[in-house]
Amino acid sequence: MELQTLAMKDATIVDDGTTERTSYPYVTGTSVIGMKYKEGVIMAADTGGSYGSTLRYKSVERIKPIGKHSLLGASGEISDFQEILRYLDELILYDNMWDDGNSLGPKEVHNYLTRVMYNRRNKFDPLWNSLVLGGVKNGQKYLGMVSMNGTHFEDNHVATGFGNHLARPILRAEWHEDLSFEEAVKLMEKCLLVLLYRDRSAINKFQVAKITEEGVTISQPYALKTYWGFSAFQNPSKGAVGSW
Amino acid sequence: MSSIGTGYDLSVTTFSPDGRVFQIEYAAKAVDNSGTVVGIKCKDGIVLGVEKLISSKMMLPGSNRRIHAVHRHSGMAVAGLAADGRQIVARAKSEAANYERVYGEPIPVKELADRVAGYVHLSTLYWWLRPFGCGIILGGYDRDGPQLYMIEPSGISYRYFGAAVGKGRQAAKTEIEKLKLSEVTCREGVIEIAKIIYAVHDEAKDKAFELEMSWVCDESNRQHQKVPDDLLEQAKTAAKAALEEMDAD
Repeated sequence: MELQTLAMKDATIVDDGTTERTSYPYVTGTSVIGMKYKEGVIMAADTGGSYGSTLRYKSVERIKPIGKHSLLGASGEISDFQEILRYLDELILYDNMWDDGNSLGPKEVHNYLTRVMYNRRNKFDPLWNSLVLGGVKNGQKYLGMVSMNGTHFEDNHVATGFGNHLARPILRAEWHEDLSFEEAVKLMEKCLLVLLYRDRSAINKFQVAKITEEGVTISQPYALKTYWGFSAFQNPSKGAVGSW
Repeated sequence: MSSIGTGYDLSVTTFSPDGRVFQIEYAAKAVDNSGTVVGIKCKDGIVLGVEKLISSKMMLPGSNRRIHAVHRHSGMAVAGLAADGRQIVARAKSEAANYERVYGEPIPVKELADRVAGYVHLSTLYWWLRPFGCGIILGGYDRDGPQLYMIEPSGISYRYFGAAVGKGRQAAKTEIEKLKLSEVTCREGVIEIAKIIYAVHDEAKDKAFELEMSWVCDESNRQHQKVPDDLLEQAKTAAKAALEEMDAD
Protein backbone atom coordinates (compact mmCIF):
# COMPACT_ATOMS: atom_id res chain seq x y z
CA MET A 1 0.00 0.00 0.00
CA GLU A 2 1.20 3.44 -0.86
CA LEU A 3 1.26 4.66 2.70
CA GLN A 4 3.95 2.32 4.01
CA THR A 5 6.36 3.32 1.29
CA LEU A 6 5.63 6.98 1.82
CA ALA A 7 8.20 7.53 4.51
CA MET A 8 10.82 5.54 2.67
CA LYS A 9 10.13 7.07 -0.74
CA ASP A 10 11.03 10.59 0.34
CA ALA A 11 14.44 9.43 1.49
CA THR A 12 15.68 7.81 -1.72
CA ILE A 13 19.35 8.27 -2.26
CA VAL A 14 20.06 9.20 -5.83
CA ASP A 15 23.06 7.09 -6.62
CA ASP A 16 24.74 9.20 -9.23
CA GLY A 17 27.14 10.92 -6.89
CA THR A 18 24.61 13.51 -5.78
CA THR A 19 23.62 11.69 -2.59
CA GLU A 20 21.26 13.63 -0.37
CA ARG A 21 21.26 12.87 3.30
CA THR A 22 20.92 14.48 6.66
CA SER A 23 24.38 14.86 8.11
CA TYR A 24 23.69 17.18 11.00
CA PRO A 25 20.68 18.81 12.58
CA TYR A 26 19.98 22.54 12.32
CA VAL A 27 17.12 23.56 14.62
CA THR A 28 16.91 21.22 17.57
CA GLY A 29 14.76 20.65 20.60
CA THR A 30 16.22 19.38 23.84
CA SER A 31 15.00 16.76 26.31
CA VAL A 32 11.54 15.23 26.53
CA ILE A 33 10.53 13.37 29.70
CA GLY A 34 7.66 10.91 29.97
CA MET A 35 6.28 8.75 32.75
CA LYS A 36 3.28 6.56 33.45
CA TYR A 37 0.97 7.51 36.27
CA LYS A 38 -2.29 6.18 37.65
CA GLU A 39 -4.70 7.27 34.94
CA GLY A 40 -2.34 7.35 31.99
CA VAL A 41 0.85 8.91 30.78
CA ILE A 42 2.35 12.31 31.46
CA MET A 43 4.94 13.94 29.23
CA ALA A 44 6.83 17.24 29.42
CA ALA A 45 9.17 19.25 27.26
CA ASP A 46 10.28 22.82 27.01
CA THR A 47 9.26 24.97 24.08
CA GLY A 48 12.71 25.88 22.85
CA GLY A 49 14.24 25.41 19.40
CA SER A 50 18.00 25.95 19.35
CA TYR A 51 19.93 26.92 16.26
CA GLY A 52 23.29 25.56 17.31
CA SER A 53 24.14 27.44 20.48
CA THR A 54 21.62 30.22 19.81
CA LEU A 55 18.23 29.85 21.44
CA ARG A 56 16.47 30.90 18.26
CA TYR A 57 12.85 29.81 18.72
CA LYS A 58 11.10 30.00 22.03
CA SER A 59 7.60 28.76 21.25
CA VAL A 60 8.09 25.42 19.59
CA GLU A 61 5.48 22.84 20.55
CA ARG A 62 7.37 19.59 20.84
CA ILE A 63 4.51 17.45 22.12
CA LYS A 64 1.58 16.67 19.83
CA PRO A 65 -1.47 14.40 20.07
CA ILE A 66 -1.63 11.55 17.57
CA GLY A 67 -5.07 10.15 16.84
CA LYS A 68 -7.26 9.50 19.86
CA HIS A 69 -4.92 7.45 21.96
CA SER A 70 -1.38 8.77 21.77
CA LEU A 71 1.00 11.63 22.46
CA LEU A 72 4.27 12.14 20.62
CA GLY A 73 7.12 14.15 22.03
CA ALA A 74 10.31 14.76 20.08
CA SER A 75 13.77 16.09 20.62
CA GLY A 76 16.28 16.71 17.87
CA GLU A 77 15.74 18.26 14.46
CA ILE A 78 12.43 20.12 14.46
CA SER A 79 11.87 19.90 10.70
CA ASP A 80 12.23 16.11 10.86
CA PHE A 81 9.69 16.10 13.68
CA GLN A 82 7.30 18.02 11.42
CA GLU A 83 7.84 15.42 8.67
CA ILE A 84 7.08 12.64 11.12
CA LEU A 85 3.88 14.44 12.14
CA ARG A 86 2.91 14.57 8.47
CA TYR A 87 3.46 10.81 8.03
CA LEU A 88 1.48 10.11 11.17
CA ASP A 89 -1.31 12.41 10.02
CA GLU A 90 -1.74 10.37 6.86
CA LEU A 91 -1.48 7.14 8.84
CA ILE A 92 -4.24 8.22 11.20
CA LEU A 93 -6.34 9.52 8.30
CA TYR A 94 -6.17 6.17 6.48
CA ASP A 95 -7.06 4.44 9.72
CA ASN A 96 -10.03 6.72 10.34
CA MET A 97 -11.38 6.27 6.83
CA TRP A 98 -12.19 2.62 7.50
CA ASP A 99 -14.85 4.00 9.85
CA ASP A 100 -15.06 0.62 11.56
CA GLY A 101 -14.87 1.59 15.21
CA ASN A 102 -11.20 0.67 15.47
CA SER A 103 -8.35 3.11 15.87
CA LEU A 104 -4.57 2.91 16.05
CA GLY A 105 -3.31 2.69 19.61
CA PRO A 106 0.04 3.81 21.04
CA LYS A 107 1.66 0.39 20.58
CA GLU A 108 0.85 0.43 16.88
CA VAL A 109 2.05 4.00 16.39
CA HIS A 110 5.25 3.21 18.28
CA ASN A 111 5.89 0.25 16.03
CA TYR A 112 5.24 2.31 12.90
CA LEU A 113 7.68 4.99 14.07
CA THR A 114 10.32 2.35 14.82
CA ARG A 115 10.01 0.99 11.29
CA VAL A 116 10.28 4.47 9.78
CA MET A 117 13.31 5.46 11.85
CA TYR A 118 15.14 2.19 11.30
CA ASN A 119 14.58 2.13 7.56
CA ARG A 120 15.78 5.71 7.20
CA ARG A 121 18.87 4.86 9.23
CA ASN A 122 19.63 1.98 6.90
CA LYS A 123 19.66 4.42 4.01
CA PHE A 124 22.16 6.63 5.85
CA ASP A 125 19.55 9.39 5.85
CA PRO A 126 18.13 9.39 9.36
CA LEU A 127 15.33 11.49 10.78
CA TRP A 128 17.37 13.22 13.43
CA ASN A 129 15.00 12.76 16.36
CA SER A 130 14.52 10.95 19.62
CA LEU A 131 10.83 10.26 19.99
CA VAL A 132 8.74 9.59 23.06
CA LEU A 133 5.42 7.92 22.36
CA GLY A 134 2.91 7.57 25.18
CA GLY A 135 -0.77 6.71 25.33
CA VAL A 136 -3.67 4.78 26.77
CA LYS A 137 -5.98 2.43 24.95
CA ASN A 138 -8.64 0.24 26.50
CA GLY A 139 -7.20 0.90 29.93
CA GLN A 140 -3.71 -0.21 28.91
CA LYS A 141 -1.03 2.42 29.48
CA TYR A 142 1.90 2.49 27.07
CA LEU A 143 5.11 4.49 27.03
CA GLY A 144 7.95 3.94 24.61
CA MET A 145 10.90 5.59 22.98
CA VAL A 146 12.47 5.45 19.51
CA SER A 147 15.86 6.89 18.73
CA MET A 148 17.21 8.09 15.41
CA ASN A 149 18.85 4.78 14.67
CA GLY A 150 15.73 2.77 15.31
CA THR A 151 16.54 1.57 18.82
CA HIS A 152 13.25 1.28 20.62
CA PHE A 153 11.97 0.14 23.98
CA GLU A 154 9.14 0.50 26.42
CA ASP A 155 9.41 1.51 30.04
CA ASN A 156 7.57 3.13 32.93
CA HIS A 157 9.54 6.30 32.46
CA VAL A 158 11.62 7.53 29.52
CA ALA A 159 13.61 10.59 28.60
CA THR A 160 15.58 11.83 25.62
CA GLY A 161 18.93 13.59 25.35
CA PHE A 162 20.10 15.18 28.57
CA GLY A 163 17.00 13.89 30.27
CA ASN A 164 18.54 10.44 30.17
CA HIS A 165 21.44 11.59 32.31
CA LEU A 166 19.76 14.08 34.61
CA ALA A 167 16.10 13.11 34.86
CA ARG A 168 16.10 9.33 34.74
CA PRO A 169 18.22 8.84 37.88
CA ILE A 170 15.61 10.90 39.76
CA LEU A 171 12.83 8.86 38.20
CA ARG A 172 14.54 5.58 38.99
CA ALA A 173 14.69 6.60 42.65
CA GLU A 174 11.29 8.26 43.03
CA TRP A 175 8.91 6.82 40.45
CA HIS A 176 6.46 4.25 41.63
CA GLU A 177 3.34 2.58 40.29
CA ASP A 178 0.06 4.51 40.49
CA LEU A 179 1.29 8.04 41.01
CA SER A 180 -1.56 10.50 41.28
CA PHE A 181 -1.62 13.27 38.72
CA GLU A 182 -0.44 15.86 41.24
CA GLU A 183 2.43 13.62 42.40
CA ALA A 184 3.41 12.95 38.81
CA VAL A 185 3.48 16.65 37.93
CA LYS A 186 5.57 17.37 41.03
CA LEU A 187 8.06 14.67 40.08
CA MET A 188 8.10 15.91 36.52
CA GLU A 189 8.77 19.49 37.61
CA LYS A 190 11.60 18.29 39.81
CA CYS A 191 13.24 16.72 36.76
CA LEU A 192 12.49 19.72 34.55
CA LEU A 193 14.08 22.04 37.11
CA VAL A 194 17.32 20.06 37.14
CA LEU A 195 17.37 20.14 33.36
CA LEU A 196 16.71 23.87 33.38
CA TYR A 197 19.68 24.47 35.69
CA ARG A 198 22.08 22.12 33.98
CA ASP A 199 21.12 21.83 30.27
CA ARG A 200 22.27 24.88 28.37
CA SER A 201 19.69 24.35 25.62
CA ALA A 202 16.77 24.27 28.04
CA ILE A 203 14.54 27.31 28.49
CA ASN A 204 12.19 28.20 31.30
CA LYS A 205 9.01 27.63 29.32
CA PHE A 206 7.47 24.18 29.63
CA GLN A 207 4.47 22.31 28.44
CA VAL A 208 3.17 19.37 30.37
CA ALA A 209 0.86 17.01 28.53
CA LYS A 210 -1.24 14.18 29.84
CA ILE A 211 -3.15 11.44 28.11
CA THR A 212 -5.79 9.29 29.72
CA GLU A 213 -8.61 7.11 28.46
CA GLU A 214 -10.73 10.28 28.25
CA GLY A 215 -8.32 12.15 25.99
CA VAL A 216 -5.40 14.48 25.67
CA THR A 217 -4.64 17.68 27.57
CA ILE A 218 -1.61 19.79 26.73
CA SER A 219 -1.02 22.62 29.16
CA GLN A 220 -0.31 26.18 28.16
CA PRO A 221 3.40 26.99 28.43
CA TYR A 222 4.46 28.00 31.95
CA ALA A 223 7.66 28.76 33.84
CA LEU A 224 9.20 27.19 36.94
CA LYS A 225 10.57 29.16 39.87
CA THR A 226 14.33 29.09 39.97
CA TYR A 227 16.69 30.06 42.74
CA TRP A 228 19.92 31.85 42.11
CA GLY A 229 20.60 33.36 45.55
CA PHE A 230 23.61 31.22 46.36
CA SER A 231 26.39 32.98 48.20
CA ALA A 232 28.90 31.97 45.57
CA PHE A 233 26.91 33.92 43.01
CA GLN A 234 26.96 37.15 45.03
CA ASN A 235 29.51 39.70 43.96
CA PRO A 236 30.92 37.57 41.19
CA SER A 237 33.93 39.73 40.45
CA LYS A 238 35.10 39.91 44.09
CA GLY A 239 38.04 37.57 43.83
CA ALA A 240 38.84 38.45 40.25
CA VAL A 241 42.30 39.80 39.56
CA GLY A 242 42.23 42.69 37.04
CA SER A 243 42.51 42.17 33.33
CA TRP A 244 45.76 41.25 31.65
CA MET B 1 -32.58 -2.24 -25.14
CA SER B 2 -33.23 0.91 -27.09
CA SER B 3 -30.98 0.11 -30.03
CA ILE B 4 -28.53 -2.58 -30.97
CA GLY B 5 -25.20 -1.14 -31.95
CA THR B 6 -24.16 -3.99 -34.19
CA GLY B 7 -20.56 -3.62 -35.12
CA TYR B 8 -20.13 -0.23 -33.45
CA ASP B 9 -20.31 -1.52 -29.92
CA LEU B 10 -17.26 -3.75 -29.83
CA SER B 11 -14.79 -1.17 -28.60
CA VAL B 12 -14.94 1.93 -26.47
CA THR B 13 -12.84 3.70 -29.11
CA THR B 14 -15.51 3.34 -31.79
CA PHE B 15 -18.23 5.89 -32.47
CA SER B 16 -21.48 4.79 -34.01
CA PRO B 17 -22.78 6.65 -37.08
CA ASP B 18 -25.17 8.60 -34.89
CA GLY B 19 -22.35 9.76 -32.63
CA ARG B 20 -22.78 7.40 -29.68
CA VAL B 21 -20.19 5.33 -27.90
CA PHE B 22 -22.08 2.15 -27.13
CA GLN B 23 -19.62 0.67 -24.68
CA ILE B 24 -20.14 3.64 -22.37
CA GLU B 25 -23.89 3.21 -22.63
CA TYR B 26 -23.53 -0.47 -21.78
CA ALA B 27 -21.42 0.48 -18.78
CA ALA B 28 -24.27 2.72 -17.65
CA LYS B 29 -26.58 -0.33 -17.88
CA ALA B 30 -24.43 -2.06 -15.26
CA VAL B 31 -25.09 0.87 -12.94
CA ASP B 32 -28.81 0.81 -13.68
CA ASN B 33 -29.04 -2.79 -12.52
CA SER B 34 -27.53 -2.14 -9.13
CA GLY B 35 -29.24 -1.27 -5.86
CA THR B 36 -30.40 2.33 -5.51
CA VAL B 37 -27.96 4.92 -4.23
CA VAL B 38 -29.28 8.31 -3.16
CA GLY B 39 -27.65 11.54 -2.07
CA ILE B 40 -29.10 14.87 -0.96
CA LYS B 41 -27.67 18.24 -0.02
CA CYS B 42 -29.43 19.54 3.06
CA LYS B 43 -29.21 22.90 4.76
CA ASP B 44 -26.27 21.92 6.92
CA GLY B 45 -24.65 19.03 5.07
CA ILE B 46 -24.92 15.97 2.85
CA VAL B 47 -26.68 12.67 3.43
CA LEU B 48 -25.87 9.55 1.38
CA GLY B 49 -27.94 6.39 1.42
CA VAL B 50 -27.53 3.00 -0.23
CA GLU B 51 -29.98 0.16 -0.78
CA LYS B 52 -27.55 -2.72 -0.30
CA LEU B 53 -29.11 -5.78 -1.90
CA ILE B 54 -28.23 -8.86 0.09
CA SER B 55 -27.38 -11.75 -2.16
CA SER B 56 -27.04 -14.34 0.59
CA LYS B 57 -28.46 -14.79 4.08
CA MET B 58 -25.00 -15.85 5.19
CA MET B 59 -23.60 -12.35 4.73
CA LEU B 60 -22.69 -10.52 7.90
CA PRO B 61 -24.68 -7.30 8.35
CA GLY B 62 -22.42 -4.30 8.07
CA SER B 63 -20.03 -5.97 5.66
CA ASN B 64 -19.61 -5.03 2.00
CA ARG B 65 -19.51 -1.30 2.69
CA ARG B 66 -20.84 0.66 -0.25
CA ILE B 67 -20.14 4.09 1.20
CA HIS B 68 -16.49 4.97 1.62
CA ALA B 69 -14.76 7.90 3.25
CA VAL B 70 -12.43 9.58 0.79
CA HIS B 71 -11.02 12.10 3.22
CA ARG B 72 -12.03 13.50 6.57
CA HIS B 73 -14.56 15.82 4.95
CA SER B 74 -15.96 13.74 2.09
CA GLY B 75 -17.36 10.37 1.22
CA MET B 76 -18.55 8.51 -1.82
CA ALA B 77 -21.34 6.04 -2.37
CA VAL B 78 -20.87 3.61 -5.25
CA ALA B 79 -23.51 1.97 -7.44
CA GLY B 80 -22.71 -0.70 -10.00
CA LEU B 81 -19.77 -3.09 -10.09
CA ALA B 82 -18.37 -3.09 -6.58
CA ALA B 83 -14.87 -4.10 -7.62
CA ASP B 84 -14.68 -1.22 -10.09
CA GLY B 85 -15.94 1.03 -7.35
CA ARG B 86 -13.12 -0.04 -5.04
CA GLN B 87 -10.60 1.04 -7.62
CA ILE B 88 -12.18 4.46 -7.97
CA VAL B 89 -12.37 4.96 -4.22
CA ALA B 90 -8.70 4.05 -3.87
CA ARG B 91 -7.80 6.57 -6.55
CA ALA B 92 -9.97 9.26 -4.94
CA LYS B 93 -8.29 8.67 -1.56
CA SER B 94 -4.92 8.94 -3.20
CA GLU B 95 -5.85 12.18 -5.00
CA ALA B 96 -7.18 13.69 -1.78
CA ALA B 97 -4.08 12.77 0.20
CA ASN B 98 -1.81 14.03 -2.55
CA TYR B 99 -3.63 17.38 -2.76
CA GLU B 100 -3.31 17.89 0.97
CA ARG B 101 0.36 16.98 0.89
CA VAL B 102 1.07 19.55 -1.81
CA TYR B 103 -1.32 22.39 -0.90
CA GLY B 104 -1.64 21.93 2.86
CA GLU B 105 -5.45 22.04 2.92
CA PRO B 106 -8.16 19.39 2.43
CA ILE B 107 -9.05 18.95 -1.21
CA PRO B 108 -12.01 21.12 -2.25
CA VAL B 109 -14.93 18.87 -3.18
CA LYS B 110 -15.14 20.41 -6.64
CA GLU B 111 -11.51 19.55 -7.28
CA LEU B 112 -12.01 16.01 -6.02
CA ALA B 113 -15.02 15.53 -8.27
CA ASP B 114 -13.00 16.79 -11.23
CA ARG B 115 -10.20 14.37 -10.52
CA VAL B 116 -12.48 11.38 -10.07
CA ALA B 117 -14.36 12.29 -13.23
CA GLY B 118 -11.07 12.60 -15.10
CA TYR B 119 -10.01 9.18 -13.89
CA VAL B 120 -13.31 7.57 -14.87
CA HIS B 121 -13.14 9.28 -18.26
CA LEU B 122 -9.62 7.99 -18.78
CA SER B 123 -10.86 4.45 -19.06
CA THR B 124 -13.17 5.43 -21.91
CA LEU B 125 -10.31 6.60 -24.12
CA TYR B 126 -8.29 3.43 -24.66
CA TRP B 127 -9.33 0.23 -26.42
CA TRP B 128 -7.32 -1.86 -24.00
CA LEU B 129 -9.24 -0.52 -21.00
CA ARG B 130 -12.91 -0.97 -20.31
CA PRO B 131 -15.05 1.77 -18.81
CA PHE B 132 -15.83 1.62 -15.09
CA GLY B 133 -19.25 0.14 -14.46
CA CYS B 134 -19.97 2.50 -11.58
CA GLY B 135 -22.10 5.49 -10.83
CA ILE B 136 -20.67 7.51 -7.99
CA ILE B 137 -22.32 9.97 -5.69
CA LEU B 138 -19.72 12.08 -3.95
CA GLY B 139 -20.60 14.31 -1.03
CA GLY B 140 -18.33 16.61 0.89
CA TYR B 141 -18.14 19.68 3.10
CA ASP B 142 -15.44 22.25 2.48
CA ARG B 143 -14.94 25.99 2.77
CA ASP B 144 -17.71 26.60 0.25
CA GLY B 145 -20.20 24.59 2.25
CA PRO B 146 -21.71 21.17 1.58
CA GLN B 147 -21.60 19.94 -2.01
CA LEU B 148 -22.94 16.90 -3.85
CA TYR B 149 -21.59 15.57 -7.13
CA MET B 150 -22.52 12.63 -9.29
CA ILE B 151 -20.02 10.97 -11.63
CA GLU B 152 -21.25 8.68 -14.41
CA PRO B 153 -19.33 5.93 -16.26
CA SER B 154 -18.87 8.32 -19.17
CA GLY B 155 -16.82 10.61 -16.95
CA ILE B 156 -19.48 13.30 -16.75
CA SER B 157 -19.69 15.00 -13.39
CA TYR B 158 -22.33 17.47 -12.33
CA ARG B 159 -23.18 19.14 -9.06
CA TYR B 160 -26.60 18.35 -7.63
CA PHE B 161 -29.03 19.17 -4.86
CA GLY B 162 -30.25 15.62 -4.97
CA ALA B 163 -29.11 12.65 -7.01
CA ALA B 164 -29.99 8.99 -7.41
CA VAL B 165 -28.54 6.09 -9.40
CA GLY B 166 -29.43 2.43 -9.71
CA LYS B 167 -32.62 0.48 -10.00
CA GLY B 168 -35.03 2.82 -8.26
CA ARG B 169 -33.54 6.08 -9.44
CA GLN B 170 -36.62 7.38 -11.27
CA ALA B 171 -38.87 6.89 -8.29
CA ALA B 172 -36.18 8.16 -5.92
CA LYS B 173 -35.64 11.33 -7.95
CA THR B 174 -39.38 12.04 -7.92
CA GLU B 175 -39.43 11.68 -4.14
CA ILE B 176 -36.36 13.89 -3.70
CA GLU B 177 -37.89 16.61 -5.84
CA LYS B 178 -40.82 16.70 -3.44
CA LEU B 179 -38.50 17.63 -0.54
CA LYS B 180 -37.68 21.25 0.23
CA LEU B 181 -33.98 20.60 0.62
CA SER B 182 -33.01 24.14 1.50
CA GLU B 183 -35.08 23.84 4.68
CA VAL B 184 -34.28 20.28 5.65
CA THR B 185 -31.53 19.61 8.19
CA CYS B 186 -29.34 16.54 7.92
CA ARG B 187 -31.07 14.90 10.86
CA GLU B 188 -34.37 15.18 9.03
CA GLY B 189 -32.66 14.29 5.76
CA VAL B 190 -31.54 10.95 7.17
CA ILE B 191 -35.15 10.04 7.94
CA GLU B 192 -36.29 11.17 4.48
CA ILE B 193 -33.60 9.18 2.67
CA ALA B 194 -34.47 6.06 4.66
CA LYS B 195 -38.11 6.51 3.70
CA ILE B 196 -37.18 6.93 0.04
CA ILE B 197 -34.99 3.85 -0.07
CA TYR B 198 -37.56 1.70 1.67
CA ALA B 199 -40.20 3.03 -0.73
CA VAL B 200 -38.28 2.38 -3.96
CA HIS B 201 -37.14 -1.08 -2.89
CA ASP B 202 -38.90 -3.62 -5.03
CA GLU B 203 -40.11 -6.35 -2.65
CA ALA B 204 -41.17 -8.61 -5.50
CA LYS B 205 -37.99 -8.65 -7.54
CA ASP B 206 -35.32 -8.36 -4.83
CA LYS B 207 -35.58 -10.21 -1.55
CA ALA B 208 -33.68 -8.52 1.21
CA PHE B 209 -31.67 -5.36 1.53
CA GLU B 210 -29.64 -3.54 4.13
CA LEU B 211 -29.78 0.22 4.48
CA GLU B 212 -26.40 1.93 4.71
CA MET B 213 -26.23 5.66 5.35
CA SER B 214 -23.60 8.26 5.98
CA TRP B 215 -23.46 11.99 6.41
CA VAL B 216 -21.17 15.02 6.50
CA CYS B 217 -22.75 17.86 8.37
CA ASP B 218 -22.30 20.46 11.08
CA GLU B 219 -23.50 17.90 13.60
CA SER B 220 -20.77 15.47 12.64
CA ASN B 221 -18.24 18.28 12.90
CA ARG B 222 -17.96 18.40 9.12
CA GLN B 223 -16.42 14.94 9.17
CA HIS B 224 -17.71 12.14 6.99
CA GLN B 225 -18.99 9.29 9.11
CA LYS B 226 -21.60 6.55 9.27
CA VAL B 227 -24.91 7.87 10.52
CA PRO B 228 -24.95 7.15 14.29
CA ASP B 229 -26.68 3.89 15.17
CA ASP B 230 -29.51 5.43 17.18
CA LEU B 231 -30.45 7.83 14.39
CA LEU B 232 -30.20 5.03 11.83
CA GLU B 233 -32.58 2.87 13.87
CA GLN B 234 -34.94 5.83 14.21
CA ALA B 235 -34.83 6.35 10.45
CA LYS B 236 -35.49 2.67 9.72
CA THR B 237 -38.48 2.62 12.06
CA ALA B 238 -39.92 5.78 10.49
CA ALA B 239 -39.37 4.38 7.01
CA LYS B 240 -41.06 1.07 7.80
CA ALA B 241 -43.99 2.95 9.36
CA ALA B 242 -44.34 5.20 6.30
CA LEU B 243 -44.28 2.10 4.08
CA GLU B 244 -47.08 0.46 6.03
CA GLU B 245 -49.11 3.65 5.77
CA MET B 246 -48.64 3.62 2.01
CA ASP B 247 -49.58 -0.04 1.78
CA ALA B 248 -52.68 0.55 3.87
CA ASP B 249 -54.03 3.00 1.24
